[in-house]
Amino acid sequence: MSVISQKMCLVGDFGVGKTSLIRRFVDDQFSDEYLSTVGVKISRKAVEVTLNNQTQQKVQLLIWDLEGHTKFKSIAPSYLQGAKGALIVADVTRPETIESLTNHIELFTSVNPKGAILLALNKTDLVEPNTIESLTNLAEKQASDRVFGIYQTSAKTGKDVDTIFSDLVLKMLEAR
Amino acid sequence: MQDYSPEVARDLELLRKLLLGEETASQAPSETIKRPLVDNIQTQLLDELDRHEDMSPPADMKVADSESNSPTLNNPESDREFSSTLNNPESDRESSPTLNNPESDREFSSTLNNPESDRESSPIPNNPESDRESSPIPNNLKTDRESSPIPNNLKTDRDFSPLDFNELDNGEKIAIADSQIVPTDTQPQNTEEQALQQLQMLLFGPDMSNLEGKVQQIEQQLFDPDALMSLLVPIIVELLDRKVRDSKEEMAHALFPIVDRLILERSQEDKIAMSQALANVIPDAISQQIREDPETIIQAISPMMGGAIAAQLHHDRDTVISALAPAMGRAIKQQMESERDVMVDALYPIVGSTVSRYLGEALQEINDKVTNTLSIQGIKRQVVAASRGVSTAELILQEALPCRVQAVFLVHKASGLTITDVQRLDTLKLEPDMIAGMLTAIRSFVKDCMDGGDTGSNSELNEIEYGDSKILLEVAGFCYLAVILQGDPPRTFLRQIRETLSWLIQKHGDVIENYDGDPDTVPPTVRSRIQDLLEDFSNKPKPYQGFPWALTGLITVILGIIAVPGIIFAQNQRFNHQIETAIERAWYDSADLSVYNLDAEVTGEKLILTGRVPNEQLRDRAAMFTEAFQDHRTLDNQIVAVNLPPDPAQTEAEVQRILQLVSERPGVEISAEFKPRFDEDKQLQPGVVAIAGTIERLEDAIAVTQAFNDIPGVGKITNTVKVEIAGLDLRLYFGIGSAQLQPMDLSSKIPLIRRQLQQHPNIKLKLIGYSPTSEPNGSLDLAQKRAEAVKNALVQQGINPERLSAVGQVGMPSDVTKTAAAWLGRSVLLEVQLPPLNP
Repeated sequence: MSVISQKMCLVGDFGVGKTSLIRRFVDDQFSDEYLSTVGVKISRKAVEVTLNNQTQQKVQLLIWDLEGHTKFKSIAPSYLQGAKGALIVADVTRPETIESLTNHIELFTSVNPKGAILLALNKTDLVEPNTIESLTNLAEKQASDRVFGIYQTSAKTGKDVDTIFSDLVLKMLEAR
Repeated sequence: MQDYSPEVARDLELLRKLLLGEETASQAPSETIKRPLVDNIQTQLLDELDRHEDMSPPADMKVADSESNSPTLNNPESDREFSSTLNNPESDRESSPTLNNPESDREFSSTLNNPESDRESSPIPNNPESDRESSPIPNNLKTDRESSPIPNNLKTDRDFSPLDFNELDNGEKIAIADSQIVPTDTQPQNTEEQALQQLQMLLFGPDMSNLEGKVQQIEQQLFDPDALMSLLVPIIVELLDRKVRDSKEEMAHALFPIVDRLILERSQEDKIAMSQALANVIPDAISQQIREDPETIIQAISPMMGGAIAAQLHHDRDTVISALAPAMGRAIKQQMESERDVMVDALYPIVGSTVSRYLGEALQEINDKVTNTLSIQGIKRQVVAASRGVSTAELILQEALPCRVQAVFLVHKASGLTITDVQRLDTLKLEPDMIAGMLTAIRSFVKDCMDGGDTGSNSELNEIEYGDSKILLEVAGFCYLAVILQGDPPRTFLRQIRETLSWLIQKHGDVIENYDGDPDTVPPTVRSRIQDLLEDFSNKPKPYQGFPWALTGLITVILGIIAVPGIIFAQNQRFNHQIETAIERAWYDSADLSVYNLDAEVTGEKLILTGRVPNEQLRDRAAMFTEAFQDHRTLDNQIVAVNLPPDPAQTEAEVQRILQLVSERPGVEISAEFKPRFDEDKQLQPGVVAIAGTIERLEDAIAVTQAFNDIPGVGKITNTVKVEIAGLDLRLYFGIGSAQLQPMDLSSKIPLIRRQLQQHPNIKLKLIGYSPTSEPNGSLDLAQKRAEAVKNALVQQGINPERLSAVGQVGMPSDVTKTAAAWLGRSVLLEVQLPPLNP
């Protein structure tokens, strides 16, 4: 069984926790210290997923951590090229980051029409559960047909972090 | 006359018999009455068929149908129409297509075989049940039965068995029929109900109670779609066929408003069937339209051409490519011919950058070669290359060998995934995915920054340097090669990279373009080709590490070849310089040449003298000093004798000095005067020395003259010195008017003169004859003859006449006064002429 290399991107507004999610997923670490990502940072993790036909597939996951979108600087589309999937991240403590999910989804879909997208509502450890539900509903309104799921994640606690990455890998392999 | 199929004709005939009776149909008296009836029935049948075709059959509509049918029978217009058609038997048959029912055909066939039994074997009496099931006629009659009483006499008929019916003769049947019809004949203004009653009587008889069940069955049949369809279809077909034949235009007008709707609804209902139905005609229709009106087709298709091609590209790209590929070359060529500027603009960003890049590299390479070829390094390289028997280019490559390729990655340009990679085993293993990803990100970043998002730009990041390491990026359409190396690679290696990339694109372009991270999709040849790139470069022969004996020896020989002639040359130069110095020193030591700037140069086998001296004597004298150094060399005396006269004052002083010297000699009493002389341009010329006086001895005279002549600045001597040679100072005298020598002179003086001349062979004598003016008959001629007489006498004595010159003068000699005796004047004087001076 050969190892398949796959590129995925983390997209979202600045400070939503993209780098933290990756760090939690790749290194199983978390830090409250905020370090802004400049340009792009690439991480790598080998994962093994079970396909629908119950076969195991090793995947070399190349995770592109893109600089967060701000009002002054948008995400460079060229970084998104060739990505089979994207984790589009929003911060549940900042509803405006959920509202901008649409823009990120459209940007990624415009570059990769067949790419799979999962939405991560991050920092769920900071808000009440009932608030999360309403925010999830708000995020659902932003979703498109290429969005295969909305996950309530927390890089701090690790909630659903591995799940969302492994699910995205599965969707990426299905989309091949 | 319309032709019908036998079955239709037979059915029509049966209906006619059923309605009118066989005999009455052909009898003229009742024909006018029966035809309208038949007409009405037929009309009702057709109307009923139309209604059933158009509406669903609810139960409550039955009565309404019959009611609505009734007025139809009253329609005089329709009566007229049908009566007119009934006048034509052919029309009658045509208007009864319902008899085409095959089922009824079969049933009727047994009876029709016997013409005699036609009337007796009418289908209605035979088996009403089978009629309902198989014959359309009863079905069509349903409404008639409901809306009108059934004639009792028909019941009797229907109760008849075939055998019973046959028992009746034709005359009785005709009578029955006639009896039912007679009232209509006598009451031509009967109402419609009456006509219907008559029809009921005719068809079913007065008793209709038994028919109710049958009617119900017929009714059920009418609402059975299949049965109804089987009933209606032949009629509709025949009707349409006939209508189309008769009036195409009307049919067309009738169908126009609903054709589009018909097609639309049918398409929505069953798209596949509609597609199949239209499939055969659409290509031909399009072809026809293209022939007739291509512009319309173009306008219709053009808006969707782009989208169609894009969709096809998405669906089956290979087909589009294979379809367009053969024409692409010609299309580009034609486009270049028609719109060259557009093509230039289109290709400029690609070709311009590509050409400029290649030109830049080529020029840099040429520049380097030119620079290095003439440098010590270049000469050294050429010598080493010649000694090893390899080309200079190979040697250059070897010189670049300190450059080590560490790894080569083939990277998918968009995703940054590593398609394949090769790395040196003896270096730290690099992570290809991470490096390729970051390189791709950096490429994207630089491109975004430099091009400002201009996707049309073809500029690329070609190289990343870090210390003595660098990453070469060679980019193609969907991939790029990243070569990580240390040192400066030779340009041949850059070409090698490009050739490899070109090969990859040509051979595996599709695989590379569609690479999605699965390494199994990459052909093994891709990796092996890149491996070749790495191995070719790293397996080049190592530089020669030992002492370069061959190089050293060769250099020594070359240096020897170059040095020996140089040494010899330098030695010769030194020796020649010594000769030149010696000659010039000799000139300097010479008093008369020291003041002149003379040069001596020894060149090979020549000794060249240059400079300027006043005269030829000094020029020759300068040459005399070189004789000791000439050796085997040829003297080339290029000293110019300017021949400038010395200062006239010095010449004058020299003349006076010489005069003083010669005057000290005994027998010399002379004077000398120097006169400077100038030419027309007032340039100083050698002067003239005028000498006068007497010198007793000829030798002294010659020496004195020569002495003056040798003075520099003296060009000419005017010598009037008298040389007193014994024997030559005598004079010969003549008688008056005579040129005859005296005999004494001939015997004494002439021999004396002869002897002196013989003693001084260098001198010449000038014989001057005189004839005084006082002499009678004296003349110049007499004086000349007297000189000639002396000359002849001397010649006779053996003197060379060239030493003697004879001239005559009228008058007295200068030393004889006019008062002296006349005979002194009749004489010949001898004047000694000195020999020419030495030059």
